[in-house]
This record gives sequence, C-alpha cells and structure tokens, in this order.
Amino acid sequence: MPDINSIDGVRDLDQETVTRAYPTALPNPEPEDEAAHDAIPGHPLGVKPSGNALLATENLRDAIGVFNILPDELILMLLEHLDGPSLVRIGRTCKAFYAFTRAEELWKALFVASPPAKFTWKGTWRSSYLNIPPTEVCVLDCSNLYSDVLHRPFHCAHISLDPYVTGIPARNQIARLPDLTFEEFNEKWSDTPFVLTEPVKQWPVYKKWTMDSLLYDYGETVFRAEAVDWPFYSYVEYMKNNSDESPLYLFDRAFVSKMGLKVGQLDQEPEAAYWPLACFGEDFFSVLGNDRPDRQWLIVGPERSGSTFHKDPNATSAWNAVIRGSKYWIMFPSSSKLPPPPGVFVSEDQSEVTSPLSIAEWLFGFHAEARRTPGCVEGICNEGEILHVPSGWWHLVVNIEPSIAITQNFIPRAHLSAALDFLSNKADQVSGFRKDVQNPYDSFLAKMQEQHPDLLKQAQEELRKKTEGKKRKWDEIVHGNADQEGTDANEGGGFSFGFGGDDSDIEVP
Amino acid sequence: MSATMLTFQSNDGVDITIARDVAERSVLIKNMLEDLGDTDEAIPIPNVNEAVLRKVIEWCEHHKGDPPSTGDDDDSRRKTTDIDEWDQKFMQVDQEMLFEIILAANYLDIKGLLDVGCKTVANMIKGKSPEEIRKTFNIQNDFTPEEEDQIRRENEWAEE
Repeated sequence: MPDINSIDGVRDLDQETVTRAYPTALPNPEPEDEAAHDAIPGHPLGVKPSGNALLATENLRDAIGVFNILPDELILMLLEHLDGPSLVRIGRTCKAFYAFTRAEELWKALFVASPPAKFTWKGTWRSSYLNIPPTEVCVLDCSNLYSDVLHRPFHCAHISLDPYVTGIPARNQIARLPDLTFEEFNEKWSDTPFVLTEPVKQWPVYKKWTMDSLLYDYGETVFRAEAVDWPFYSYVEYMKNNSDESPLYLFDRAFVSKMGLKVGQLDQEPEAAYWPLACFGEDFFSVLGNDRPDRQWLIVGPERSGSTFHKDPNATSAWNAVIRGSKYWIMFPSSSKLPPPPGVFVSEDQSEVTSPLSIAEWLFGFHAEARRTPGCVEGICNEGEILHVPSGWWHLVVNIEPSIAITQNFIPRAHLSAALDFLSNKADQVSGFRKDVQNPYDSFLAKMQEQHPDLLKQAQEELRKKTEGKKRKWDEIVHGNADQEGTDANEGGGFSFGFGGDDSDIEVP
Repeated sequence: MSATMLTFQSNDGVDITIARDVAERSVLIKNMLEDLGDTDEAIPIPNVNEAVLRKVIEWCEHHKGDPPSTGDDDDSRRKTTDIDEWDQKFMQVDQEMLFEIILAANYLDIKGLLDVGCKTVANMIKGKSPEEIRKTFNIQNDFTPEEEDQIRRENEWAEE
C-alpha cells in the first residue's frame, strides 16, 4: 500500500506513516445497523462490510470479469500501479471499479508522489488531485458491493475516540502536578511520565496562539506535514475537512526559524515566545552546538491525528506542551525484559516497529488489552499543560480535538548514560543529526569531556556497572560462576569507554 | 544439514522436485522451512495447480540469483511499469494464467513475481478507453444511463 514515508528520516515517526497494509486479521467492522449507536455515517457510496455478501442476492463484484478471482486486497494493489488517468478510466467501466477507484489511499499516494504545483484542498485526496468540486462528485449507489477493504478505512476514519480516552482506571492514571523543581525532577521524576498543569500557562504562545491567529500570521508559511510541504492555510483547509483514517499530522522541526520565534529563558530573551521549563534542567545534546540532532517540533493536527506507538530517537526524553486542544496519551515502560505494548511488534534489533496498524485500528483491536497490561500509564494533557515522556518509554498519542502543541527532546542528567549507550551501541539507529555530522558519538563524547567531565565520568560509571551487571548474570548462567572472567570482560567486552581524562585518547568501541 | 532438493505437491496432486534455493524465493516456503525444519515428504501447495506451479517455479529458477527485495522498492514499483525483457516474454500467457500467477505469487509471498504480474495488468489497462478496458477483461457495464452521465460529468472536471 502507499507508503507515505518521507519525513527526512528525521524522527522516529516512521511508525505513524508505516506502510498501511489492509489487514485481514482484524475483527470485521460491525454491520451497519449496530454501528448506528456510534453515529458512524455509512460509506459515501454505501459499500458494506464483506460479511453482508453471504446473504446478498446481488453483488456488484460479479461485473468485474477476470478480476473476480482476485481478493479485494489484490485488486487494490493492482490499482496502485496505475496513474491518475488510468484510474479514472477503469473507474468508468463498472460500479465496483468506480467504488475501488474512490479509495483515498490510491489518490493520497499519487498526490504525494507528484504534488500538483497549485491545488485547493477539496475534502478528499481524489477530489483535490483531480480538481473536482465537491458538488460534482458522483453519488452512486454501491450498496451491493461488500468489501472490508473499502469499508474499513472509512469506518476507522469515523470511529469515536470517547470509549478509549475516558474511563481511565485509577491505577493507570498519569500523575498530575502543578509544577516541579529541577531537584524534584532529577531525584524522583526523571523515569516517570507526568503532567504539569501550571508552567505552560505563563508562555506568551499559550496566551496568543489559536488556529486563527496562526492562520493570520503564518498562512503562507510552508510547514512539513508528514510527506507533504504545504502552506499553513492549505493544512487548515485539510484539517477542517477530510475523511482520512490517519489524518496528516503537521510536524515541523524548523518552525522556530520559519515563524521567527525567540526561544529562551526570559532573563536572557525578554521577547521569548516560550521557554524550556527549569525542572527538566539542561539538555546535554546542547554541548554539540549546531551539530546537535533535531530537537523541537511544532505539532498541529485535527481530532484523531497523532503518532502510533514509538520510542523517541537517540534514547532522549521529551516534553510535549499543548497550546490549544487536548491529547490522549498511553504509555509503557520498556526494558529488555518487557515485551512491547500489546499490538506492537518490534524487529529483532529493536530498530523497527513493525506495527502496520493505524491509531484507530490499534484502539479498536488492542486498547482494552493494553489498559489491563501492567505498566500501562494513560492520561489526557489539556490546553496549557505539559507532559513528560521519559527516555525509552513507548507512547501512542492522539488528538482528542484539533490541537496545537510544541514538543522538545532532551537528554536529562538522569538519562545521560542511556543516551551514551544508544549512541555507541545502536549507531545505526541514531537519527536526527545533519548528514555531515560524521560520528555523533565521538563528537558528543569529546564535547561532554570538555564541558562536563565529571558528569560524563559518572554516567560512564553507571553504564559500566549496568553492562557488568548484565555480563555477570550471563556468566553465572553460562559458566555457573561470576568471578574471574568478569574482570577480564571489562576490557574484552564489546563495549568500553576509553576516556582516560585526555581528549586525544578517545577509543572508539 | 539442510536438504538441497525439495518436493512440492500441487493441488491437483502432482509432485515437483526443485532446488531449495529456488523454492526459497517464496517467503512463505522459506519461513515454513525455518519453522518446521526439513522434510523428505512432498510439501502440499493447496492453492496452486500444476500448470501454475510450474510457471511460478520457472520464474523462480530464472530469478534465483536476484538480491532479496527490500521494503524500499514500493515506491519505484508504483512509479514505473517497466518490465525487463525476460519477464515480459514470461508473462505472455492467457489472461486466466496471468491472474492465477498473481494469486499464486501473493499466496506464496514472492514479491518480485507479484510485482511483475501487477505491472503486466497495469500495462494492459494503460492508454485504453473504458470500453476497451471492458472488452479486454470481460467487465460488464452495470451503470444506468443516469449514472453514466453523472460519471461523465465528474470526469470532465478531472480532465480540465
């Protein structure tokens, strides 16, 4: 299926745009009549879920000739190989093909692959690509076509979030606090998700930004929304009127310069639009100056947009401040001993999340189980609140209403060793650095040695203990004792920091 | 030790013995062998008849040296409908066989073959009028005159 996947490889966001296969193993959407309580409108052409074919006397599929031996998934896959004009023409051969060629994913893929130079958003990818006014779009009766493949994305696009974001069990409820000091965060909270309700309300952007004010001030400014770069006014049009199962999510890492914002603590930057909160302390990636990886993003999106389960890049922690709207978060701690969250599948080296599910599909299929799973933390971050995602935590986030948010990733003191570990041992998964930054790990190590030698030493010590701990356990299992070989392994292990206090003496593990 | 030859049985009961590396072009077979280990018995392929299975094996023989496909080929697949010469000749079969090959390639999880099959059908659609497409694939026009009119109008917008 269309793979709308060109976020510059900047952030671990791939998951939210992963190849969207049409899974067949999911529970079938409910039959129309039962869906009524959900107030889900029918498919615009009346296409029904596959199960209804069993009792049907007539089936539009009978008209499609040779194609009738192919399952719906394969027909759609075939259509993916066609350009716009061919799709339009095969759509004129019979009603079933017309319905198939209305599948939005086909047109979204064509649109993204060759965006029209100028376009007006017209409510669907098809209408926008073909420039068809909404009033001219055909309303055919295809109620004798029975297809989960066509019905499901539409169903998911209209699913209500309410059952999933309400009724949070007390044991899962994310901690909510007015504010924290740096000491409190550093000592008690760096491994725990929480929401702070007060500090963001002081930010000038909280007082100023609304969808309308952004539209007024930045309507022509081009922002990145997943695989497309659109002026803000187009994105707002899209946001107000689309029926995508996974709505495009505006996620821009260059917003500070694009919007000409000043960012910093008020005493140094009196005109600051916002400032990172004191409680999170220093971000140790800032020792890299201009060579640091991407750190901050503006996030705008309609209800139901968001990110499917992922962990943040380079083992960083993050905060996410909601300026307008509200977001539902569901999170799980991760460790080598814990399985990933229900419905999430990870490749062997942990580099890829192979969950082909959209947010709606995941909520539909796995939310109930996730809620029962030990470790689950859930909560809602409202307007003017900020949420903390600790290093290494799995999280899924979805907008409950149209939202504007700012997020920033950072390495806090408590997770310096985790970042060092990631940069050195998962070098292939390190992301967000400019391409010309050759060896992020070495540069980071050198700069830390220069600016924070004591903290670096401490972090390395923590890491060494952790690694040794693991090794000792391994030796106990394999050799039946922990002793002698353990000492050896200090040097022989695949992992050694060779920092002897002299910059020139960097050993690359 | 892994066997170098494997035997498969088509759904019409014919045994065909082929080299293991050829069979492993099928991700389904490859995973099955990894999970279940080797077997001397014929492995049943319940969805594929002898004629189609032989055709699929012919393709796998020819392509046994191809590098394994990566996830990245999705994009290029959509952008081009170029098919290499050998594959073009290989795909010169009647329509029923062509669609059976696509089904088998999908079932056996042979990405390259599925891709060539889809491209072949896409090329048969490209450049044809709706009526020509109907004739080619035996599609029945089930639009009422009013519906056809509606679609024509919609289409006029698309062409502008």
